[in-house]
Amino acid sequence: MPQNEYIELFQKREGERFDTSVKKRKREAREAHETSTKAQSLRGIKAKLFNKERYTEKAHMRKLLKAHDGKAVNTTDKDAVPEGAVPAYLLDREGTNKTKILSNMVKQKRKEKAGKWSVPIPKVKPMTDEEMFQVVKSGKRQKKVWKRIINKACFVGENFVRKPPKMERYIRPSGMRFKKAHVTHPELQATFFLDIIGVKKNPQSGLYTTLGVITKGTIIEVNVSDLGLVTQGGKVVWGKYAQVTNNPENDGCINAVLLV
Amino acid sequence: MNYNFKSLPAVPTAKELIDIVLSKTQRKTPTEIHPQMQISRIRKFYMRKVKFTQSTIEEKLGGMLEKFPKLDDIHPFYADLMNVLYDKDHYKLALGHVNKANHMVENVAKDYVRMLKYADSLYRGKTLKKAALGRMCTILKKLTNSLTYLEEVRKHLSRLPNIDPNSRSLIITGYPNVGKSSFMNLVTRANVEVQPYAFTTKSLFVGHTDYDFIPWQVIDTPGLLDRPLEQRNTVEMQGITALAHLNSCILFFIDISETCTYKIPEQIQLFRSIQPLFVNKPIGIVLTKTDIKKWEEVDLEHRNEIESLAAEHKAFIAQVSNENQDGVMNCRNLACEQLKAFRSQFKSKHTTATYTRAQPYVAMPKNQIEDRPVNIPESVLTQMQSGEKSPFSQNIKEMQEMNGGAGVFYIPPQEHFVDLEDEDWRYDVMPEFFEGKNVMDYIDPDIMDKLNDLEKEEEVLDDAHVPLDYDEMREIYEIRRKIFLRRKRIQQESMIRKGTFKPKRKEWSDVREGLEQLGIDPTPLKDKIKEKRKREESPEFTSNVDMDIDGDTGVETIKKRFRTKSKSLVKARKPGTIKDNPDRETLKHMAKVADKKHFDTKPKHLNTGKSGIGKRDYR
Repeated sequence: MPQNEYIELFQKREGERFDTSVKKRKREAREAHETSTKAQSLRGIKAKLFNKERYTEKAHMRKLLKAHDGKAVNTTDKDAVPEGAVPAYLLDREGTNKTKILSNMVKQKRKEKAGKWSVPIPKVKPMTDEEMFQVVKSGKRQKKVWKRIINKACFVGENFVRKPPKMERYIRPSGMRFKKAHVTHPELQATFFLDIIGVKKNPQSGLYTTLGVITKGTIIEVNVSDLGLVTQGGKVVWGKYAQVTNNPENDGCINAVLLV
Repeated sequence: MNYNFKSLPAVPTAKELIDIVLSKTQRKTPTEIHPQMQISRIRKFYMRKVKFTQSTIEEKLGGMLEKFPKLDDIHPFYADLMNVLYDKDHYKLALGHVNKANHMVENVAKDYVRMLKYADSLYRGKTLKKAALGRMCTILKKLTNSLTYLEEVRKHLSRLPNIDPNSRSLIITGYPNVGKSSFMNLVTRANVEVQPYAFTTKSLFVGHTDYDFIPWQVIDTPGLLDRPLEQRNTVEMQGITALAHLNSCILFFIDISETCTYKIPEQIQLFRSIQPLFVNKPIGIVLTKTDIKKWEEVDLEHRNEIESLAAEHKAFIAQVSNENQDGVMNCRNLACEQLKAFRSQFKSKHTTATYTRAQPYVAMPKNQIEDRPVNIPESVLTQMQSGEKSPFSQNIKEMQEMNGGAGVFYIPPQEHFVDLEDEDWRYDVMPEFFEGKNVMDYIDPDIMDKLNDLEKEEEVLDDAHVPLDYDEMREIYEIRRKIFLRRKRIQQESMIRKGTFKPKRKEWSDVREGLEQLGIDPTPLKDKIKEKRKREESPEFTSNVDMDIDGDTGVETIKKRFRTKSKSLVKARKPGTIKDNPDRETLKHMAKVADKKHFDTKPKHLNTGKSGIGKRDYR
């Protein structure tokens, strides 16, 4: 009964075939030809996948070569390295410009007051009502057409209570309700999965804002207490605005950029 | 429970798994969808894709979780061994990771299927499906490390020796290089590697030996050093696991020649330090390499120490030399005996009264004849006594020995020939083919007998034959002729009846002869006949029916084509029996007669009822 490293043991005892090395060398030599024929003969999705893989492989190789070439050149920037003795715990820190942060803060405050935002997505494509709503027929003879289903992602507050279903004009289906969003901090270049607090503004119309519809370009308020952001005064910030950058109804998730 | 881990299916890497899952979805779900199709159909199409992908992933990951052994369920020996080899925490974490990924995929699928219910266009369905599959794949991608680890574990598990923890086993242990593996190779067919350096054996090896008609497993363990448990490495720990968990007879090897570089007191010390593992197990102390140094040559002090050690633990002492195989089998037999006794004792102590026998009950016949001598046939006995050899068997046996022994040699087919008239013919060369003919086709063993029989019969017939005289022959001839003529007449009469009789046209030579015999001159007749025949054969004569088809070329080569008239099974109706305008019934009847199916074009059951055309869509 073969057990443990029996293949290695066998090779140790019996050796390899005499032509092993030749075969190996030939197989390696043939490999390039085989990939080449494959690249030429593949069609359709197989070709797409193959080419993608090959491209990444080649790109990686190119990068590696470049890295090797660049190794000789010393590109350390003298300004980046602080002069003089620096304690160990400060070694990896970059010199942060505090004045800039302050001025940013001031600017943000001003903007908030003015109610104008320079946002990542300044303009959005207008949506028609047909796109937004799906008409529901109601009544005994299915004649009444005043009900609407909202076809987009929605945020519904926790303490929201539905009207009696018969009277409900706008139906927000629970399948399309969202409670969390992937929010990217543009400066940290990090993404967090944060709770949504509310919908601040939907650029399409005021009605959508009140309904809590979330489309591309909508400003939402998110709970950033996990991030540990602190205000100038030293208070912990817990609500911050973010703008939605994707079409949640198409992607099944909300991606947003934190407005700072 | 079966502890064969060889059947574990291979674990694909994360990348492979993604490829498997996605391509399976592509293959097994419908692929064609168009925007103008009904929206419910579009939704269903994409929902099916998402669900299918999820179920495929679940199948793959779930199968993995199910197949991999659960440490809490398997025998503690294997659980401990796996802990030593793969680290229990790591193993459990990896499986937990897989399980979690499975659940996450399930949740993703659930969410997206819910969202797909509200998809209002093909584009939206498509993007949602894409997002769902993408998220599932991301989850799988995060499994990369766990899956690689599990694959490594699987590979190693499948190479573990197949040890049955509940079976009878002998465990060999001791310092490195004391001859454990050599002993194993002598006792079993395991073919373990033996080298003159320490730690050649790096893992457990199992072999099997037969003693007392039952199989025993022999387990070879890596050598142990005398150090605390915490400092032992993985290699040593495997041995410790086996010692700790398997109910077995333990063979502790002591190298009395001290060529393994460890002194006897050190080896005894090792015994004492691992002795807690030997509790409640039969023990044997095996003194090896007696070919280098005899037991009697060992220091008395050491001898006494070993003996006291054995007495203390009720162990037997066996002397073994692997080099010249002295005492190897004896040692094995002793160990097996000890373990057998121990197990039967243990069983009788720990089982209910109904099952106390180690061996099954063997029934013996009541009236047993005491004296049953061997029965040798008379002929054989005489042959044996006279010292004669049976020439036939002896020859073959000798031949076999000469030609390479059993297996290589085969008994020549000539030896199977029996009843040869002359023994010299036995090895005569007989051709298979002779003059292009297969010889065997022409061989008839009875041919001479048959020939003799035939000749005898002919002789008898010759004797019985008496020639006939002329009158008798004439008589017979007349009778035969009568019979012939009568037959001929009957035949011709029947031909005439059927209308197939054609009188044979006589040849001119016959006619002439006949006329000449009668004394008539045949020449005028000949001319007449010639003229007549000419007329019959001329185209004018043959084509007289078709003459006016081609007016101008009437005399030319117009040949009438003669065709046999096909016979109808239906008799022709006599003219005048049908009316000029037959009514429907008659026609029907006629149709029936002419074996032609006449369908009822207006069946009543389809044309009656109150409802007219177009009132209902069913009838």
